[in-house]
Amino acid sequence: MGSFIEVKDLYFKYEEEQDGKEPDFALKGVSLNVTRGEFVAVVGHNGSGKSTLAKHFNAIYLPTTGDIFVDGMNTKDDDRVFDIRKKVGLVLQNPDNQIVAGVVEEDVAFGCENLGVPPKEIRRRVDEALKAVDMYEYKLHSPDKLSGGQKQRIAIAGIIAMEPECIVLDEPTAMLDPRGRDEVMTTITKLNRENGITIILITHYMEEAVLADRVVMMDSGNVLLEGTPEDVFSRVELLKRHRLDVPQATELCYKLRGCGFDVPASVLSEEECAEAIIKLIKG
Amino acid sequence: MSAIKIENVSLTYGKGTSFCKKALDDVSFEIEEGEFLGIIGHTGSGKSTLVQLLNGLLRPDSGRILLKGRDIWEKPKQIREVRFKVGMVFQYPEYQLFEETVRKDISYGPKNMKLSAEEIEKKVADAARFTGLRPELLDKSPFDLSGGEKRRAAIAGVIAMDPDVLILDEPAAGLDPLGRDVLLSQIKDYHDTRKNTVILVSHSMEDIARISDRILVMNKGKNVMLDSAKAVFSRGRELETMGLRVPQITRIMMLLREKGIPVDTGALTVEQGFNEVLGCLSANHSAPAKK
Repeated sequence: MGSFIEVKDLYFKYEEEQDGKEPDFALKGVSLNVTRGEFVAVVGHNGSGKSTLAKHFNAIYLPTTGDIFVDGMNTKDDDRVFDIRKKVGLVLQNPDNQIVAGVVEEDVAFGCENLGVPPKEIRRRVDEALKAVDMYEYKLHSPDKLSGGQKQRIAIAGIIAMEPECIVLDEPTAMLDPRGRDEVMTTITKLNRENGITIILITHYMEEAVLADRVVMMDSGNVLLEGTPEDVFSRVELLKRHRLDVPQATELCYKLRGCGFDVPASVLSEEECAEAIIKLIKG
Repeated sequence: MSAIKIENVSLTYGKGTSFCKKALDDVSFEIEEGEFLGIIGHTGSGKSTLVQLLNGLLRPDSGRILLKGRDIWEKPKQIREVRFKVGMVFQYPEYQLFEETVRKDISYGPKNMKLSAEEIEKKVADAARFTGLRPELLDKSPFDLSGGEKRRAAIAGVIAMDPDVLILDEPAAGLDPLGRDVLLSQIKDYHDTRKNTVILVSHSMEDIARISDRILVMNKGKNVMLDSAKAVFSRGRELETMGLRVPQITRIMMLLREKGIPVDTGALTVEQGFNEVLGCLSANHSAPAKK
């Protein structure tokens, strides 16, 4: 199957700083393909370029050199920016910065209104989007009285209502408590599995990256490593060297392997880890 | 004597309006002097309200807050003194940087305390050292620093006031895993050196478990647990009903225990969990020898 998003040798530099010195490239030759319907997690330390990359997927930033194609359209093509943003929605870290209206359903409708969707159609889309994120019963509430996880799901609903084919989320759970994190991750996974929406998730939480089909690890403005979560997280030493964590379950198994015990390197979840240890002890 | 004593404190926001919300409901507990206290709780559980009461940014509707035995609202006009004694690092403190240079920004607190120029200089140098800010950064504009450095500069500004109690609300949010580890161990070193009281609010159970002497659990405006990390996280099921979790390693120990493997479910770090598993394996004859 062809790529939905195609990043070709992307270099990007922020505008010149005030004191006149040339900034370094934030992205240095990134090439990456995302297939339609795929769930990709992008991990990397602060300053690795992952958020800069995220803002390229819907033409908020444009490449300094290189190209990005979204469903065949070049993000540099001014005439197609609107179409690209219809296809790729972006959700940011802090839900408080993304909410614009005083009533939940109005907030969710905001994006659609700007796209010029007919009112009847907006009604249908808003209701469906709120149901998809499990917030339908809150449609008449005021967003500022909701919890962080609920607000973030409202922000996601606003994007879904625009019916994008792909949603890019930049650390959507960084401000949330554990339950809020679970709620958002369940929503994202469901949108991917059931609605076939392509997901690109930028995260610092390895427990979240584990849920993806593919993990892309960024370092100093380039892709250092990519593969299935099992492949990527089995490389504990490489990850640690690049300021990244592995899930505690993976690390425990890694340490046991280091002592010569026969446990799989690809353990990601608590259940898998417990199972491997039980096998080891009970033989 | 306890560093801080909270007695029957209640606070309701928006009293008399339709937005009326009881944020804290008859909360009482004590924090020991020199203690490292972690606070966890779901969004809206009252954590932030609680810490803002501790340095007098909010005033309780009823109940008292005693700082070293003295009611902080005894003389309301002197509440400013309390804010020098109880230092508060808010979420995303780097948004509050405002001076021309990092040095001036860190000096702002000590200057308001009317310290001499020499004292200020010393406090700034100490605070920069504790937070790992390199001396050459002090004369730069705070806006030229990286995100992690800005965060450190903002925390240094509070530490420079040399507070008896230091409160940090999600100090590591948004930092990558190594940045988080480094910052937390610097806070821990600061605490061990200064022997003052530190209160850390966080959503990361792993961080809280690793660093705190005791943990306070808030749920729906009430304090529901105050105990050692081990004791708190051994009540995993209860925490889950409050929207909280236990560290992943503790969950693994719980799963092993359910299958009859005699590990201690109080293990909170990978190291502790590893030792628990090794203990079980060495009691088992089929285990291979350690390399």
